[in-house]
Amino acid sequence: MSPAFRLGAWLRIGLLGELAIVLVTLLVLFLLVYPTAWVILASFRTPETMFVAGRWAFTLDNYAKLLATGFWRNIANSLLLCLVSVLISTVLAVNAAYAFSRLRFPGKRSLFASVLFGQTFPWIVLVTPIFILCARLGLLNNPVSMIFVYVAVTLPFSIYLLVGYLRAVPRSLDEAAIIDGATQLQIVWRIVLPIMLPGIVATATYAFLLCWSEYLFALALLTQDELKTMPLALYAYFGENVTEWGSVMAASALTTLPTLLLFLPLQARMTSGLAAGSVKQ
Amino acid sequence: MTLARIFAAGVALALLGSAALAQTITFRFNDPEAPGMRAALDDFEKANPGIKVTMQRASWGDAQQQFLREAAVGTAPDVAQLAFVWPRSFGGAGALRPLDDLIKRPGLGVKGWDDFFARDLAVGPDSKVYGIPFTTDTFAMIWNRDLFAAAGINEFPKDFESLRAASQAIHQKTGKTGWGFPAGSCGTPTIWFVLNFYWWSKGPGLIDLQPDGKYRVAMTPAEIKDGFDYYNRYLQEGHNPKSSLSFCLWGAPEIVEGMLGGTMAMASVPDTVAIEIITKWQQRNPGKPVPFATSPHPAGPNGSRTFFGGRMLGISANAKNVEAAWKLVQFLTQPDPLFTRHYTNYTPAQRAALDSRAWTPELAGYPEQLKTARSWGAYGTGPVAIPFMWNAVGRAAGSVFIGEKTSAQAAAELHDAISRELAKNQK
Amino acid sequence: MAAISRPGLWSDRRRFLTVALVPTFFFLACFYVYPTVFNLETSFTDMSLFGLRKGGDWVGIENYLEILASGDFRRVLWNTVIWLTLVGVGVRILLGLVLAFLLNSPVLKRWRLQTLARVLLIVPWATPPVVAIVVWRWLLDPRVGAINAALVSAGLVDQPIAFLAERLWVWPALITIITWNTLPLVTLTFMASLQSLPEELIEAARIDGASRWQQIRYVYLPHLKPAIIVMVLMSTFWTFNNFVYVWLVTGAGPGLYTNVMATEVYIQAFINGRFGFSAATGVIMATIMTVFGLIYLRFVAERELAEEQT
Repeated sequence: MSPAFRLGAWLRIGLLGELAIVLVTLLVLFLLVYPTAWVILASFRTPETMFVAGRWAFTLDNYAKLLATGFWRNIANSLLLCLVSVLISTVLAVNAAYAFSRLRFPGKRSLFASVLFGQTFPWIVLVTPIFILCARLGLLNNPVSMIFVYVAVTLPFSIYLLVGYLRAVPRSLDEAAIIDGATQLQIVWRIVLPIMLPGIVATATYAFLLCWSEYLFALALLTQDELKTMPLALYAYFGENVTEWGSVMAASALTTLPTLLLFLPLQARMTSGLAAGSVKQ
Repeated sequence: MTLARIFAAGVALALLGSAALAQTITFRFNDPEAPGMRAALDDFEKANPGIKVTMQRASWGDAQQQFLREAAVGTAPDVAQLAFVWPRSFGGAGALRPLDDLIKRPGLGVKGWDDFFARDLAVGPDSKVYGIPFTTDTFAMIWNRDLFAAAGINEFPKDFESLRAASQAIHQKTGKTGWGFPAGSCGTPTIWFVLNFYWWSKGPGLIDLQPDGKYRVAMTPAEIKDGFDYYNRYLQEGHNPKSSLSFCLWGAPEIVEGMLGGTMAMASVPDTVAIEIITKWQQRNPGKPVPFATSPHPAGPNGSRTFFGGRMLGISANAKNVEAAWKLVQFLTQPDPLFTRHYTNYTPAQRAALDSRAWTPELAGYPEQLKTARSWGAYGTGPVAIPFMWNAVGRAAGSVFIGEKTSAQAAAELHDAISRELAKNQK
Repeated sequence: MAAISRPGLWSDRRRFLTVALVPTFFFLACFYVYPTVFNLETSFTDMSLFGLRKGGDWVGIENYLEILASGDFRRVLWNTVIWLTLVGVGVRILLGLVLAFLLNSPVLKRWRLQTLARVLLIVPWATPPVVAIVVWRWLLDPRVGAINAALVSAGLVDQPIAFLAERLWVWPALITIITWNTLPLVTLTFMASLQSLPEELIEAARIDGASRWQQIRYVYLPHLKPAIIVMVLMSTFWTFNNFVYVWLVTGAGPGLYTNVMATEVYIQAFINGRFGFSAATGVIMATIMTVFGLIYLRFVAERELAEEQT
């Protein structure tokens, strides 16, 4: 049971107040969803009619054309890179966040600050040196280097986010486990993790979305068409003279959908893992 | 015995074949007509067994930095489609292979190297040839005859003042946009082109080559200001709506849809966009006569001047299979089969091919404009890089349009910036 | 509180620290050290985009002096610090809080809207920036956009507003687009934090007779503080350095009106070809963020995030 938040009882305005909240929520949700919904609907319209209000011509041609060009391969590339990167990044981040949050060791402050240091540079400034580095090491057009890059760019904020979440997790559980003789690793992964799950889900989603829509590094490091990720393929449809709107809309819809599908089963995990009767403060 | 001989012959052939098949070259082609190009490349591979071509792609906005990055570490594609003004700077940077020895060979284009356009832009600072002009195009004006007729105009205006008056009249009579040129800022804003058309109709433009071999800034701030004021009037008078400040490309959907929906009376576009507009209109209005016509831009004392634009082909400095790469280049400069069957909306950058392209009546403005088009000339060969000027001019115009600076101020600053850059780079 | 201990705890801890920290710093060191050094070095040269291979000539601090002396720099700094970062992050945090409270409400649970709300919340975030920008530009269009249509038909304005063309509206429009695309993360973080708030605390406060505002101030906000602190720093870093949104929506224009530091870096590096010069701007950006980060960590975050050491 998630902790109750009795807004209605608070405001003490009864049914009318509740209706107001529901309506506001629906309005907000509409605003949040409308733009993307428009794109998905547009992907089923012919390019001639999609910008013209009132006219509707249903078609699956946009998708047929898109997939015929091998877009499914771009999606597969993106999925592979992102899932592996997020997995590695999250695992490393959980451990590191626990260390920074709960343990004491020399140089902790400086190390924690240095974790964030890399984020102070804008990415466009990082791309060229990384490209040169990878080129000299022969790691261009290589999924391994892409995974390395994505882990490195998602790690700092993941750690930082998780440190924040850990703050809210009571230490009493750790201490009980220590007395019981659990190793540190077990404490992190068996005891703290379930409680931290909403935070981990949010962090992993953030990391996934960062990879999923990442363009600059993919552009520089992947020049072979079979390896390209989905954002590269999507941008390619915006030509200088002609934009292929049908393909753009279909590609945009296909880009948005996997994230939603991945998140749907996970959203149940957003509710706290605090078991009933957890340790009282 | 016969069987053994057949077997031996088979093995020998297979070995020969596999040795020949060892050649793979990469070709970077950045236009959206990728399927057509791939079909053409298949034709090439059939005609040249032993060479396989891998096609790569980069969007034009990123293509320059990408190529230069790769050239710096030696991983650039063997053959690349380049913007018209890149071979010079890329050659100077050592990113392209000099082609002087190769262009002497027969088989290049319809009538050989001398028949190509824009050869001056293909030459690097060291006078070596670094690019082969591939396709050429120019901008012309496509206009809606019905909207013009509603304002009582039946012929396309021949000078810039009449054009502005016509645009205003159309807006007043029909409420639609006159010349809705893109007034926004981005990496490659259209306003650079249309401003140059205006300036070139009156003189040599921003940069000019003097007889003593030095380059100079050939316009005064007052002349620059004149261009800004001209286009700003469209926005101030309302026949180009302020919303055109939100997009910057000549092929933007606002323009294409505006022309198609009859809410915009004219646009300055390359032939590929004009063809797109006409084709889409025919698809949406089957059976009806096309209301569009094309005409050259208005003329000034110096004529009606647009630029020869287009693409070039280059071979990267790190290319290993130069012979195979050159064969591909030769293939790409032949009208048949590339331009006749697959890449049909483009014109080879050669005089012989230009005369042989069949233009439909609606596109008649383009061959006429090409007659008076000029090369980038001193812009391309001079010490100030075109992207620098493109950006500076676009930003200056934008700040005038949005009302942040006066046209006098912006013109003075632009003149100053270009002069300083010229002085810095001219040795 | 006495430290809990047991035999073998310290060696176990040491082992864990190695496992936790070494891989992380391996990735970070490999990835960030070389670019940092490269950029620092390049910023003292006049390397051009065309001279990537041969490098540039040493010019000392000339690049920095040129940047700091230029009139444009003040405007770019203002745009980045005030508009993009201060206003942008502020709006995002505030709206994120409001939305988190709203979507966590038991009212929604009673109407069975909570699951739907959580799933739909992720939709703007799942939309890649380029797609979001395409749609929003269409929505903001004065002639065919839905927003202007709604405004005009509701009688709020008599003429459609060209949002991306007016000096008054272009920044609000930009911030709206960025907020739409990035609000879900902030909201989700706050929601996750709210959900770990023990119910007993609220009950206790209510029983003690606290008013709703007192409840917010003394129960909810303190519990949310770590999450807010984390989000503010993350958002600030990310927004300050962001390039994609400004570039794709306005191209840093019209003119240079919405130019921010990241777009300035791009223009100088890839359009004007002045690689060394743009690296200097990049170093200035990193310096500003580092100083901000250090101050922030020391005076704000550390107090909140520090745990009793065990």
